Amino acid sequence: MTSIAPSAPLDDEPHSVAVGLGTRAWASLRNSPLTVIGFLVCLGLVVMAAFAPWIAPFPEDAGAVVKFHQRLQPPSAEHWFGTDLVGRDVLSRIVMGSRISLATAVAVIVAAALIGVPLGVIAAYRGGWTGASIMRINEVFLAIPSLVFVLVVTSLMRPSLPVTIFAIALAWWTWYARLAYGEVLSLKEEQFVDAARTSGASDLRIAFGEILPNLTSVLIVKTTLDLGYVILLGASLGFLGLGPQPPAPEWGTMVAEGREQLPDAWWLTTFPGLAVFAAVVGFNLFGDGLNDILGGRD
Amino acid sequence: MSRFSLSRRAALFASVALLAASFAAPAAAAGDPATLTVITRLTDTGFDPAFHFAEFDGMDVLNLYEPLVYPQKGAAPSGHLAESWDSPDAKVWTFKLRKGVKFHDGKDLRAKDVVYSIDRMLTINKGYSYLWAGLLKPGTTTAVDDYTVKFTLERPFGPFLDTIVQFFVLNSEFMKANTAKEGPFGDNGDYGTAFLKKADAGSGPYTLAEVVPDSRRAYKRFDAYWGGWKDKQFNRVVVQLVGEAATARELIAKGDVDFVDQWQPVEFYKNVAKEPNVTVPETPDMKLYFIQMNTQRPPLDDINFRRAISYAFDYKTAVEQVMGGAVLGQGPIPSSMPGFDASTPKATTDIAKAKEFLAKSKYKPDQFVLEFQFIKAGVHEPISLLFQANMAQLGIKIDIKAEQWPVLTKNAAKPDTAPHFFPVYNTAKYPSPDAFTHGMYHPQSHGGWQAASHYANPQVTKMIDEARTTADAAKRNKLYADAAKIVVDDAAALWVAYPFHRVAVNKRIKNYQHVGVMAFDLRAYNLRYE
Amino acid sequence: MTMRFVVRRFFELAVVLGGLAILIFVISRVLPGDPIRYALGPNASPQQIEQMRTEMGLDESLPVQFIRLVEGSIAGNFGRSTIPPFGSVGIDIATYLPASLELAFFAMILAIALGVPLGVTAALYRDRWPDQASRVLAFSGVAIPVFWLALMIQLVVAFRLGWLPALGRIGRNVAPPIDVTGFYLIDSLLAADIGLFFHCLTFLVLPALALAASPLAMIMRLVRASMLEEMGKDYVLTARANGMPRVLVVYKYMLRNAFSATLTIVGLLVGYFVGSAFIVETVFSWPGLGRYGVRALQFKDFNAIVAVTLVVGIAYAAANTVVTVLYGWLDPRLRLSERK
Repeated sequence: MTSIAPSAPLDDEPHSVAVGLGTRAWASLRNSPLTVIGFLVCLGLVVMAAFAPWIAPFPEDAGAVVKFHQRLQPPSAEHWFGTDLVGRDVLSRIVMGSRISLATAVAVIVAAALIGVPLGVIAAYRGGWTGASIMRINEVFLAIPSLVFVLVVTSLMRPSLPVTIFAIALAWWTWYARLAYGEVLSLKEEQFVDAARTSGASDLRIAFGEILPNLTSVLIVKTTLDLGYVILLGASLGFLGLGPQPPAPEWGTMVAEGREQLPDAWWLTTFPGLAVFAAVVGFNLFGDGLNDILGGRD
Repeated sequence: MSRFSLSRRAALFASVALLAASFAAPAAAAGDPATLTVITRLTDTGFDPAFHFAEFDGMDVLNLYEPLVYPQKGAAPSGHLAESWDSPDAKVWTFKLRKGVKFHDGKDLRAKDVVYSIDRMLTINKGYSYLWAGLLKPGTTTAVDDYTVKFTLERPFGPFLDTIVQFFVLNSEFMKANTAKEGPFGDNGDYGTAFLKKADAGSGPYTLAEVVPDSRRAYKRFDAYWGGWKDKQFNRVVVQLVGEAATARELIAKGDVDFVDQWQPVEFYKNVAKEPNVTVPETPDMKLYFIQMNTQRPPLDDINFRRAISYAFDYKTAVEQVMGGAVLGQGPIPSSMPGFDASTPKATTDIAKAKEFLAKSKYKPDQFVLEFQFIKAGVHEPISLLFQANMAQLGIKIDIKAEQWPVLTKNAAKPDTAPHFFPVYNTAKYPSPDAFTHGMYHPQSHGGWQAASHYANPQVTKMIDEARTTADAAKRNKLYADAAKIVVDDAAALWVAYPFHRVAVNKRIKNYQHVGVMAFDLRAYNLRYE
Repeated sequence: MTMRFVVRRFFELAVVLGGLAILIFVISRVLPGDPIRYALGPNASPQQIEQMRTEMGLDESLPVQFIRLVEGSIAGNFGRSTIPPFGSVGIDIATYLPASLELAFFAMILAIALGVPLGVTAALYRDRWPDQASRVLAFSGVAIPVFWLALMIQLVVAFRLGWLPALGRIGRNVAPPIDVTGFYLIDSLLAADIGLFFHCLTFLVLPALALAASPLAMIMRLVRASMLEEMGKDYVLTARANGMPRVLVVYKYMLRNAFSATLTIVGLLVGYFVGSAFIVETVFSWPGLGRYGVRALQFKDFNAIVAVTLVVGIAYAAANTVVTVLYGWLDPRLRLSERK
């Protein structure tokens, strides 16, 4: 899951993204129906989140609503995924819940990248004492597996959506710092950097103006894959009762609540679990496909 | 690879698989009929009567140790290790002990053991020792002779007999021999606390046979038990930890286990009752489910606002749908508790009345967003959703929030941090209305999480104080009940229901009787098998 | 070389774990909530609360508390739990750790034993149906939420089919082996009780399977990739051109490579096992450190939280160090670039 989020393939050389991208993309897409599926799943998820209140048959069911007359109903034409303990439509809750999962994932990745990448670039470019201390701090955060780290941080604060985001981002920036660090280390001896240096550009400019753009494709692949893994981690947190709190329709929390009703009300665990699964598979396939298109290695 | 070696390999594999299957089988079979298998979802927390205060450790303590007096459903406690007792003033209590009671090491139980046990309990000062805080001190209890014990309280305390159902007697010599020198209790070292994590030192019908931490514990019968043994009693009791309702369901349905605890979701009992070999005894519990209102925090400091809320909540749906049936609440004292007064007004839903009271209030309904905090377990979440929906009818906005126990208990401790609404259960720990009045609405109890109403009414305080010093049980209980009526009139909480106690029992188990006092429901000695 | 590396690694670890200890300590002492009050029950008297705070050392200043913690951790004494009967956290950890290790080791073996052959098969049948199937399997394995998988495995294999026990470590009426290592499998073998060994094995299979699913998928893909890379290399082509049987080529050259490829992610996988143990142990009522940790988190048992975190940190670091050393031993080229 989290800790095994495969880091994006590291390229030995900076490559130009523009050259032949379109051709390669087309070829890759044609050869790989899985990438297309992944892309469609991701697109579907984004559309679902964006238009959730219009897509969900009973959008009010995402919140604190009680419909006791129709509690624990199995899947039917009216309620495709059945209803929960207080009679809310499970499908609507899953659709509305996509907003929580996607928002968590995007917020975490943005925060992690904004913290991690600059620190990694600075650590690698400056090296010396600055670099060593950044990377040592990085190691402190990596000293325990992400899930354990996130569990500890959220439980010690008050579990809620912002805390979930904060905690996962706190664990996740390290991967971006490491990625940027590794990439920049190999890039900084390249000719184009030397060229910039001789032309009198400042360190800051070289690091962020010359080197950073070369990380773009690696970062795109990594963030796509990571969106899936963050959704997975967020759901795990919810499952252990440490995610956003009720009545928020968080997928992992829904599985945990449904678990109490197994094996009779199987729909309460099955569908939210499938939603997590679909989202993660989607980002995985799409990220993998992007990797081919952008010229990474398998 | 030759054909021969391949087939030999296949044969080996097959035999290994068979072997594995044959060893898996005995674990699944029910086995010895004289073994009682109980499953619970609560983790074992040790076997020390000085620490226990909850249901899960209570069951262990109850089977391994014995109290002086034993609670009876709806009546005063009866003699157990004590044969008789006497207290003319409710201040000095003299107990005559039963003769011929043996501890598990064969020694006779004497008065000195009782003295040792109460002093140990008070010194360690955890678990139920709060019941005697300010009443008993270590060293004040004396052994008059080998079979007479005298407790001298600091002041008269009427419900003392009720409270000591939670006091269990340990074997003092055996304990002293197993006490570590180093420990926080001075000359008493660790008071044997480390020892009691893996062993027992009691006189109960069972002794601890096996402990597998966080998995199970087993007791075996103590042959020299003073009560004697009859045919069809259980020789062995296994308490298995099962974290999930689905697993529990499967095991009891198959007949693999005999008994499932009361901590499963409501639907579990409904579903499992359909199994041909399972019964689900359902008894009104000496337990209260209530939503506390913080009476010191605006707008709930206004009695009319509180009354409006009391009338707006849909008790019927809560009781019938969420709790799957329960006795509708009638104030804080549970209906099966001695001293319950049936003339206390029932919880009523009446929107017109609610609006009337709201109009009388000095606050406007939309002036505040009120906090409703709960622990994410059991019925609290559906109740909170129902509550929120009900209050919306009055235009009152409720912010519901699940919190973890330590956060809730900390919040509840102070009037300025206690949430507006906080639903909890209160299970009788001793068979007296004292716990449901003094424990909830007397200023001495403020800080505890069942007193999160932070309710203080001098008249009620005075009545409870008077009740506590009254020796006569009938007079005492009347005082408690009258005090409770005033609290109800003051709308300090929503006393929603007295829930049903439900367990799932295999039909081969006979004689199961619900007592209602915390943990006293599963004394394996009372059960018989068929 | 290796020795020096280990020594240096040890000092680095000390620094990192020290940092971790500070981080967790700070978080745990500013936590909202009051575990003491909860630990003593709803009607605890103020004196009881005060006495327990003193017993737990919470009346000391924060720096003193931190020094106590560090001293204690080095001696393996993490203070007392706030959950009745308020036992020593150090003893609790010693009690629950072996169960977790046994589960993790078994899951690791399962993942490698299934992942490597599947990866090899996928590579040998590149772009044919076994490869496609393995791809789907790999993506599913990585993406499936472990808590959900664990529930489903339990529901189907244990309940519906009744093939294997659904929870716990040992049957209700079976006595555990005499405690030597704390690993039931090893202890039962030491006691020469083959029956008990297989009995315990049946309990291990389902949780291990849930835990192994995702690592299995990762290993499979990694092995496939590394096999394909090797297949295109000259020496393999030469060997095959010289008429060496395909099976032999696979065994002789490529598998060794596949295993060292696997080794590179074993360190990461250890992290995965530790993290997911929190979930899998909860679902299967497995009496291990993960379950203990989840309980500690729920009740803010802060000494237990600090201890579990540190133990996990140490185990994780130790595993990674061992892997690095092993890897360097397998592949001498890497010793030089060990800093990366």
